[in-house]
Amino acid sequence: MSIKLTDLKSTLFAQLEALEQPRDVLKSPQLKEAYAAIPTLSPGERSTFGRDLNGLKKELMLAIESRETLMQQADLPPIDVTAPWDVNKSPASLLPVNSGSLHPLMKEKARISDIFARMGFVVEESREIDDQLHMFETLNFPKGHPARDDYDTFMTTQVDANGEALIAPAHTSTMQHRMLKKYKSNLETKNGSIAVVVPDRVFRNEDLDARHEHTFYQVEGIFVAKGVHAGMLIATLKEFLQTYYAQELDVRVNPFYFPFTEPSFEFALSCPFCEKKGCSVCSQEGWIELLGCGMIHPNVLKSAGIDPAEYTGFAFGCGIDRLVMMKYQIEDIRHFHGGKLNFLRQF
Amino acid sequence: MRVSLNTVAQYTHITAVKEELIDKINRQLGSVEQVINLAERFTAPTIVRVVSAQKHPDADRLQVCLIDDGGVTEGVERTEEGYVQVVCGAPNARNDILAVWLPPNSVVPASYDEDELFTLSSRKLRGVMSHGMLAAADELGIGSDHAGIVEISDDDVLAHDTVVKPGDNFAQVFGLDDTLIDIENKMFTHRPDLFGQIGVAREFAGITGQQFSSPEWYTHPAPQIIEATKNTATYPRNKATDVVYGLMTAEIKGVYVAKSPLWLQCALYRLGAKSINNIVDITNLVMLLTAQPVHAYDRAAVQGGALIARRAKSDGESIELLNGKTIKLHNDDIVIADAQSPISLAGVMGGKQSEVSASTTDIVLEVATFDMYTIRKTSMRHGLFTDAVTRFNKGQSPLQAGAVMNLLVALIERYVGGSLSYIENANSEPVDSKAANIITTASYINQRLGLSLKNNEIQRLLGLTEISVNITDDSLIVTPPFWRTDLELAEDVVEEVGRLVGFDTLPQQLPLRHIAAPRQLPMIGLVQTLRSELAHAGANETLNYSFVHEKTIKNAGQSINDAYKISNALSPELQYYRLSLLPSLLEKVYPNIKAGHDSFVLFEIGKTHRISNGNEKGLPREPRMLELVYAAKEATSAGAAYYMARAYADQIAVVTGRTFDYQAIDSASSTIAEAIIAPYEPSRSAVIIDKASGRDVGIVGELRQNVRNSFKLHGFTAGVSILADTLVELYNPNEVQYAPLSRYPSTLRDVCFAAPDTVAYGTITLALETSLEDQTKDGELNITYKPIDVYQAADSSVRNTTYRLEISSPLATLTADQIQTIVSHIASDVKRDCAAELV
Repeated sequence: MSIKLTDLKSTLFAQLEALEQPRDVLKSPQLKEAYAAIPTLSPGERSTFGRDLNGLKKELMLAIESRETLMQQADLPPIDVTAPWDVNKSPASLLPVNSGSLHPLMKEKARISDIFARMGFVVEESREIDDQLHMFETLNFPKGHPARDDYDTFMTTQVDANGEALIAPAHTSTMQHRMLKKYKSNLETKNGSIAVVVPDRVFRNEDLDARHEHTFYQVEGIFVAKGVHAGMLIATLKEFLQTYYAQELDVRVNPFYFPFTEPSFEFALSCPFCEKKGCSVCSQEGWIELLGCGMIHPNVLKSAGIDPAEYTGFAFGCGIDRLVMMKYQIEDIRHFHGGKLNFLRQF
Repeated sequence: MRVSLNTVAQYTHITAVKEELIDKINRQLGSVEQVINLAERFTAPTIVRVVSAQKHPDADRLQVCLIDDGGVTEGVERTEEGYVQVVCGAPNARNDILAVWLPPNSVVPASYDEDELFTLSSRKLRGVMSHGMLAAADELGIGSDHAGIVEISDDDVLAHDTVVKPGDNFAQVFGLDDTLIDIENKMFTHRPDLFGQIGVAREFAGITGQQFSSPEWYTHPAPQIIEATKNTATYPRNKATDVVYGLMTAEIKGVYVAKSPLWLQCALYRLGAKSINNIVDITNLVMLLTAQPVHAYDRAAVQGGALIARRAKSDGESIELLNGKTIKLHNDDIVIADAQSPISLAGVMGGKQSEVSASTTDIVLEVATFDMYTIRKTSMRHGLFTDAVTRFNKGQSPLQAGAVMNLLVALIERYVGGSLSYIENANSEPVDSKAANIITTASYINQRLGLSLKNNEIQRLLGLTEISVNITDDSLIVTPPFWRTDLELAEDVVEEVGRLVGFDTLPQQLPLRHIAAPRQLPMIGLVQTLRSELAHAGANETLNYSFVHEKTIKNAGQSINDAYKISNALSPELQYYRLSLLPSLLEKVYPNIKAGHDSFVLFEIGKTHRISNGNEKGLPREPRMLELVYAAKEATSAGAAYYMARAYADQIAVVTGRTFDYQAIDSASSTIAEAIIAPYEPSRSAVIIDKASGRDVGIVGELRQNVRNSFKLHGFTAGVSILADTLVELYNPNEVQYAPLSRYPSTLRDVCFAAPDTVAYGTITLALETSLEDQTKDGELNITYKPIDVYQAADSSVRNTTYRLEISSPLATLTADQIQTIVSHIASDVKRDCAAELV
């Protein structure tokens, strides 16, 4: 009989006092060891030892609870909050610079914003609660239209002035109508164009897994002027992507459907990681389908008071998470909001 | 959308090689999700004649068959007569039937859908050699039947003049030498016609530059036979004309419900549908070809014989559906009813009671058109997503009903039998849903595509898919065909032209712009600065969800009543919009401590939502916050964690060109929202105040004990919550306070004040500042100070606070006496204001 219960008791109670979470004492290796020893004992010893050990554990539980209660009540003494540091202490020094990090998504968002800013686009922010007018109606999604099914939108129990549920925007296009109105005067004045990007957070009501997030980031782009055509849309996106990847790329457009653009496209680029040979990033396709885009639907322009006969424009929406995951070969999208320092400090 | 190339080829020539065609589909029609090479699976199966079937000598259930494969299979052992021996367990294997043989070394077709391919061999079964196998439907993958081997009769072949003979390739006879292409449905959201093989065939022709001609029966249907009159009991009635755009019915008597002929089973298999019986299969085939859902009812279950389209009654009608579920109907749901009750959920799913079954002898057919929005709502309401819904909610044209009914009746008469009693139409006038002409010009189209197409080129291109264009002196008059209910605007025509030309071939040209610099929003600039400065100060930027669990809010001492609630969250983790960022940050502390990190600062810049903030322009305000949490396993040189967090607040002040004051929470009439303050312990937290403006900027402090317990926080944890919107208003990157450099040397002097420990550092400092201000106000002195020590002996109630003064004058070098006078002055001022003695 190598384990003395009296020794074990004093060990465990000492541990209990030292622990920030008193309950963690139940995970103590010494306690586990004692329980593991029971089957090795002779039948005579076993019952006595087991009974005593259970008694000790009960005692320990009481001690845990009383310490927890004590900790709940324990008020730390007040401090002089106007002082720069504690009495008899010295000035605080910030953490070393090499422990700091920027979030990879925000880093990439800044980079994308910077490229578009250099191309002449104003960078704006989106909203996290919006109304259905901006998310759907002004984007030419009639009420009850099946195209709404493609956007699994979170709704709130709170409603807007029209009695409709507020929503968590499922795309940054929710800002399109506002941006068209805000910058409409540009069309007649100095710029002659509306050029805006909105890189921000969006939400879809999806189950989480390694490739699906309910919270992700999108950059919306809007360009309106006289004589804008679909070839300009392709050229602009190609220019952006070539700058972003710092290499020449091929691009491809597939026809697609969005209610707020006509025509609509799905835009693909030749894989920047394998020169179209096929690799794990592009699923051996050589192409990466990256974003949706199209010529802004005349109804969308009209609803913002812009004459679609005189002005035309294009819009696009590109997922930022995907760009970042491809760039760093991040295997699990959940890392982005996981808050793990082991992840964050790599960037 | 599943497309069968063999089916499509019945309506148009497939000229391009397969890879090119798929590439063209991708670029000009829609994203190809999957290509299935069906032909590859079916190269081996061969049609054979069973020439003899005898009981296996050693097995009751097996038969030893000799088969005639016409001698086409090479390398297989044959009898003298040239037959091949196969042991077969099927009870229907017998002399003189035509069956399907899978030769040795061939792969069982159904195993292509399994994890591993199953390759057959020649081997002995109970001592008797068997070469390959005779196949059942499930082994071929074309059905689920395993009761017996597939038998082929003359009726199984679509073209009756074809004589099937031993040695024929099974796939060739039944069209399984096919390529199946799945095109993403989303692309076709606005294209009702593309949910039928004929519509897809039309587009294949268009994108490969060929002229398409719809089948004559589709565009020019024979007039419907109408034998009954409005007065008869069977006359269908449309009692919901606002949402039912057409209701055509027909009755066929004397049908014989049976298994479908093999050609039909195979056709459905290629199009991804299951074979049920000959009547249901024909209704499905018609839908898959034309995109028009149709339905067959057992006439015996239709009380009164007439189909009535109406809305469900508001007193809670219900119906048992084909899937066996009984649903309670909503009074917006459209139903097809008989004289008594609903017999199908219109446009969604048929009713169980009127299902066509083996005992059915007479049937009623329905070809109807329903409002797409109503169908979608009903589908969502009851969670029913069927092939019919997919098609109806795209807006099918009511103008195809006559043609579809003709086809349906003709196929049933031909392949099922029975005789037509009547075809009737509930709408005397078909609803004119035909899209109006679109008037546009070549230049309008060219401008939007960057092209320079001539009128006749546009006419030719659109004509390929049967969109007719009339060229007048100054415009193009585009007439959408009836199946294109989506064509309404000139932009829709632009899309068609662009697509047929190929969007990839459009001239790529960057837009030109004025060189005016785009403005940067102040918030975006400030956020960038703060992020990078905090990272340089060793902090880690994090992102947390905008939604939190109810318990996160409660654990932080915040009120759930202030939070916007998500009504359709998949998980309680995402039930509420967060009131502030701090609770989400606190949740990330313990896991990181546990992962072995000793000290760290996590920060986030983001929007917060509180109902109490009210609205702006009809929408909730979204105040931005910068919040951070400092956590360490041990105290640092500065003592309490509060001081470490405060150092980060000071860092924020430095990088934004501000100076912050810290005042005890209970002594400040704070303007900061309750939800932000809630987690902070008042006796160890301070309100952050912008010194110049006096505005509240945020909170810094340690957390309440119960918050620490709930989030499992270590002793050394503190937070900072900054109102980023206030900071952006205060931030002026162009505002720098500059003092000219003195030409004379400055003097450093340390002064130490002793005061009871009840006198706050801030009180002494304020007295010091007041004195310095007074002494420097005439501009003859510059004095700055910084704290260097705060000391209190263990057994004393007196605290010594030491400052280092830097004293200079712009006029002359100061003498020791002058310095001494200044210091004495300061000492008496401070003593007067706060009872602190110069030591």
